[in-house]
Amino acid sequence: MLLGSDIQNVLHPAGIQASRIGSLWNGYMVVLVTVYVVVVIWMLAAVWRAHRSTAPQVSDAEERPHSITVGVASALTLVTLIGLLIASVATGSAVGTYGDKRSDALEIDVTGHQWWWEVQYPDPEPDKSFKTANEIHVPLNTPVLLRLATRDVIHSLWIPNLNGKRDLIPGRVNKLWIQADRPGVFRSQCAEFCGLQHAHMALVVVAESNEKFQRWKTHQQTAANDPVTPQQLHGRSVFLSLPCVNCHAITGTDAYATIGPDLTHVASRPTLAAGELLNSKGNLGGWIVNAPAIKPGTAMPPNQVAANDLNDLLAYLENLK
Amino acid sequence: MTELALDAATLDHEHAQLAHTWAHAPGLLGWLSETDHKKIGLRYILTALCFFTAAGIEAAFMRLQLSRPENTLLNPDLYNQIFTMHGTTMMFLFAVPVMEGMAIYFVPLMVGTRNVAFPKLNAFGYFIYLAGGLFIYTMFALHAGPDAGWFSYVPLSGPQFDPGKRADTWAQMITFTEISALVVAIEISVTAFKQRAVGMSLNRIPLFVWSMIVISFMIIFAMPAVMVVSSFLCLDREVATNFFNRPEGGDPIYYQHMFWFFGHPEVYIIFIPALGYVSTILTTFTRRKIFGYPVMVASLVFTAFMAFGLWVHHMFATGLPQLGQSFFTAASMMIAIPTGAQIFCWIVTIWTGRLTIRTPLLYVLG
Repeated sequence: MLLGSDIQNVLHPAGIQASRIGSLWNGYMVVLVTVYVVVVIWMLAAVWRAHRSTAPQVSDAEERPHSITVGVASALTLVTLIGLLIASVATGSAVGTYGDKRSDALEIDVTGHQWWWEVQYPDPEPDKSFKTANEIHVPLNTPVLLRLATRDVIHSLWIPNLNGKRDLIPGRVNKLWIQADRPGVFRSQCAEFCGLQHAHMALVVVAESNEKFQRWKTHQQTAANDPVTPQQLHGRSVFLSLPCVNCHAITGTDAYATIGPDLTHVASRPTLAAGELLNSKGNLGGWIVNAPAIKPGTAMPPNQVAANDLNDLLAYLENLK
Repeated sequence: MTELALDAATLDHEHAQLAHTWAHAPGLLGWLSETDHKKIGLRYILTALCFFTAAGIEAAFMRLQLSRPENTLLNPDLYNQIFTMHGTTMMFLFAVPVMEGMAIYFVPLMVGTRNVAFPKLNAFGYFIYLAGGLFIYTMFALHAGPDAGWFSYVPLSGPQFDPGKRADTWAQMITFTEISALVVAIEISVTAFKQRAVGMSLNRIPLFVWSMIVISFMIIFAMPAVMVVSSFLCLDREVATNFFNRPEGGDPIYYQHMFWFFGHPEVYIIFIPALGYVSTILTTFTRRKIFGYPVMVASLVFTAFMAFGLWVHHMFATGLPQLGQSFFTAASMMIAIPTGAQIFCWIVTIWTGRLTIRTPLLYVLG
């Protein structure tokens, strides 16, 4: 494997857009390596010949045939370039407009934040619309239109296995088509320098069968699990009494702020803080108590929570599957 | 009309006066008031090499930091400053100034004149370049180095997301170094067009000088764009002009267009002198004049024109319309034609020459 990993790799396409780009890349590689080899051989032949020459040939008669050679070589360059250009434009057009005429397309809104990804699945019925963070689930063989926006600076979404990159620019909504044709988890990483934690702004795309996707989606559309045990019940009141509610939302409670990630199903996500931490109870606790120590610059403030309260809060959050 | 001075005493007197006029003044004041193009050219080259060394050390720190995951050698803030300083140094304080130094040193010699057209302006250009470089490194030492990348995209470098003086430092340095670049561009183009030796018609100018003329014109058109855009950035930051603030009718994309309208030609401002070097070295070590001189000159000029028509290929990820992208893809590719033509002419030059294989030629062949 060239880059050591299949889950974030342009050369292991998992979708029709990335395949087109991959084919274009391979085609360019073959043509341009050929041109390079021919020119280098030509140059070496010239060196070999001139090294044995006794006097330079500079008369008009001696130069004329070479003028024709240069002319022909330049013309061949032009023809090659036109070929490459047509291939490039055709690929760009196919990748850029894919799915414009498809009625079964799924639309997802992705909003960049310093430094995490907000992912919203809109629905005509407002209460079926839901938000998650740092993960996009898509069904196989379905065109997906990602609508890209940003809350702060410019970010760039690049899922190498699925498509080329597209910037998230203030005041604009950019569009990017993806379509996964094999199941898998593909990694993405912000591709436009966006400040202190640019390196810790990851996203995963989970491509799964339509059945699994529908199950996931239906679950995400439901309200948060109600606390059951006394510990979890107390945990919820801790959550609602702390500054958490200033930024986070949990459907079914009084927390509905939109500054930080939606926590309705936080326990169902594989990572915390945009791929910074695995989603474990210990990591979540550390994150709540002192997030800036883990991810300097993050908007998540440190929180003073009594040990018992923290334990109950974690029990509550861990239940939000 | 003065009489021709023929007697030995007058000649000696005039000789003494000339020697006095062209002599290097002694001491610090003499060093500061130096206007000899060879001295100034060497200062540019040596200063640029110092900055190059600094940039290399910064690059070494970056590689060390990246040598293992989650390394703690540099904190994120210092890392951002270091890579911004590295990029800024390489582009603004090394690559262009070192080429300018070569031009200031060699162009007057190659066109057969005693000094560049405006020697004092030339000295001014060097000192303002030095001032820009020292300024940004002083700020870096004071922990106020720029940290938004060598391109300083808004809004990351704007008032909301980059408080303090960091982006202002960057923008100010740009103004210093680009004034210096414009000074050199004026020097070189005027020197090459107005001070050539008798008999050196346009079709006899050495290709090295042609390459420097071409980049001088490119500098005159490209550098003002980045000076303007960095000044807009300062205005947005200092007096809330909102050039790039979307809610107030500005647009961050404007910044990118103006930056790359400079940024792409900059690539060729660095690249074209290298073409001049190759042509010069080849003709020396093949013991013949260059094959296809008119084609070579036309290729340089064509490359320079094309270089202004493909800045958008730095912005393909911003979601511009497909048709516009296709135009810039085509322009980006077509620049291979003049480059190809030059390579073919070089090969023919070798083919029909008599080689003396020495180190400079080995570099060219490599």
